[in-house]
Amino acid sequence: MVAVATLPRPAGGFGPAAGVRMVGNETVKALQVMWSHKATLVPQLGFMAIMFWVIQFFLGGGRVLDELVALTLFGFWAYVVGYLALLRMAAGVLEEKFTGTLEQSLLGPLRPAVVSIGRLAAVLTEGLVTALVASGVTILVFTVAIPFRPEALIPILLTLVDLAGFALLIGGLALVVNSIGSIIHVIQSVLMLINGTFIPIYVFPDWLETLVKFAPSTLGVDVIRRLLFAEQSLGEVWSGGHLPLAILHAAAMFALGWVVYQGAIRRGLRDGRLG
Amino acid sequence: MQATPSLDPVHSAVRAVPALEVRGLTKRYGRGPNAVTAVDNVSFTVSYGQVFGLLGPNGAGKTTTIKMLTGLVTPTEGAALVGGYDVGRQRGDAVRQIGAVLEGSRNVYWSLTAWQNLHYFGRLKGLRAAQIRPRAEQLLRELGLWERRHQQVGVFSRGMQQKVAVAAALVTDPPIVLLDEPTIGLDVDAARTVRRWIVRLARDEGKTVVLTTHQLAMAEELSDRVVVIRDGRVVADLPTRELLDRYVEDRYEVRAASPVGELADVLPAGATLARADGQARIELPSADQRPLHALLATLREREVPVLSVNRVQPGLEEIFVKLVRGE
Repeated sequence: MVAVATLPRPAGGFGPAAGVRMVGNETVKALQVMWSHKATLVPQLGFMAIMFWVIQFFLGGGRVLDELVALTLFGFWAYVVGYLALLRMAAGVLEEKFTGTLEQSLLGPLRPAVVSIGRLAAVLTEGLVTALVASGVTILVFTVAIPFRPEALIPILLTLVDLAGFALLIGGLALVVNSIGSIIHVIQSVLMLINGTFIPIYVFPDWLETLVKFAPSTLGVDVIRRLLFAEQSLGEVWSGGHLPLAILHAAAMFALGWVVYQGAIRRGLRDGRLG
Repeated sequence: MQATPSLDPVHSAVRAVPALEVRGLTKRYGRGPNAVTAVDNVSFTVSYGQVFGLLGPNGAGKTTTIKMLTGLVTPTEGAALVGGYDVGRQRGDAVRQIGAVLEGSRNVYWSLTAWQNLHYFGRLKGLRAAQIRPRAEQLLRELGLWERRHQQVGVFSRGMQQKVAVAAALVTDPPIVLLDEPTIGLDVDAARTVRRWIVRLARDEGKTVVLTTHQLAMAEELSDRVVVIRDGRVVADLPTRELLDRYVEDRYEVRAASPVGELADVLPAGATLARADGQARIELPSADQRPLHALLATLREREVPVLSVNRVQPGLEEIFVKLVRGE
């Protein structure tokens, strides 16, 4: 046997800095992949925006009501993020499973759980960029004034966490039951209808309002609206139980999604089903 | 044991361990009566710089073994050590030693360019952009892809896509390269390029190459050593030459420049006569050289030109068939 060289650990090892670089690497890759699909992405964005406007016309009785646009815009924004998060974490991960890049992405030195965080960060970045572009166009076209207060960042963050958890949940389930990937558009459509994208949830019948509160992003969007449009304070949404519920929902959804997704990856490694 | 005298900054660690060590590796899928044992107590060791052929029929357990070496499948029992690192316990260090092209998959992102793919996979394994750039350029130039580096891999031919997959596996300059059916689906020219690269990786760069393939002529040509797996178990584990020698048969083959009809009456008992490549081919059935001497004497008397006398040497393909049939 001869003495030979092995690759040493990179500077800094596999610690948090390596994790952050990996998140950056996944994000860059996701944006590159997204840009490579620009021929379908741009019409897709256009379609989403047009659909939003058409429904606004419908709800406004043939007119676009600025007030209504502003009120529903955050729901639309959450829908776009959720739409892409679901698409990438379920259909996208399944596609990577079948093309072998999912396995290759796990051939790095970092643990699969860290890779999941990178993938999730990339998905959310992609969703946010798309949502901001789509919302920006809508704001410019309708010259809608969106009030903003820094407190709104809390429910915005909660909404992102909620959607991330839901995307992990569906992505994890899709890895175990492949057919879920093929009904992803149905799930996205239901999400759009019940998360308050077009209709504020308080106009729903009581039973439906209670039911949709369990849907991802609904509670976060509701708190955003209360802070920005109902001019409630952070204390008021807290004491009214809206913010605690949103926190609880986001935490529970993310925990559930994380457990299911990591379980699916572990099961995939155990059964050799990731490629 | 000697340390490598000069090492570049990347290959700075020196270890006196086998490249790969597999101990009692077992993989069972499922539980209870329906459990399927894909790999059953497989053990082998691969030294650095070897080309190691892992052979077996479909479903023998080759790919599962490769995936256990890369940490992509968790073993039910046993351990796999890569560069001395336990894949189960020191996964990060272990997988950094490996570049892999896996069977039947794209391995790289077709919607990204070749350049973007190499950067992505380099960073995935912990390299910085400044380390990746020169290596990526070198690989893409050598593989003839440099001019097309900014094109999406999806528009490339199958052979070029496979070259990108090979380049992505090599971008970190790993000491161990796992190639699972690397020439499957490739045309003759592309397959030849991959073969040439395997030789180059092993001979010129000193890399350890684990090769699984159904192209046994390629395995025979390239492998220093072969392991044959059947039903998840190792049925042969020998240096290629030694394996071939073991199957040298105890019979002789004489080739002579004569019409077959003229030799029918000179055959010793049990010998067979056939025409091959325009020559008469006589096979003598045993290791006993007396019939051979008698035959050669007769041929000399008749002034029949003898072209060659050989002990029959089956190729790896014939040996493989015997091994997987349990003969």
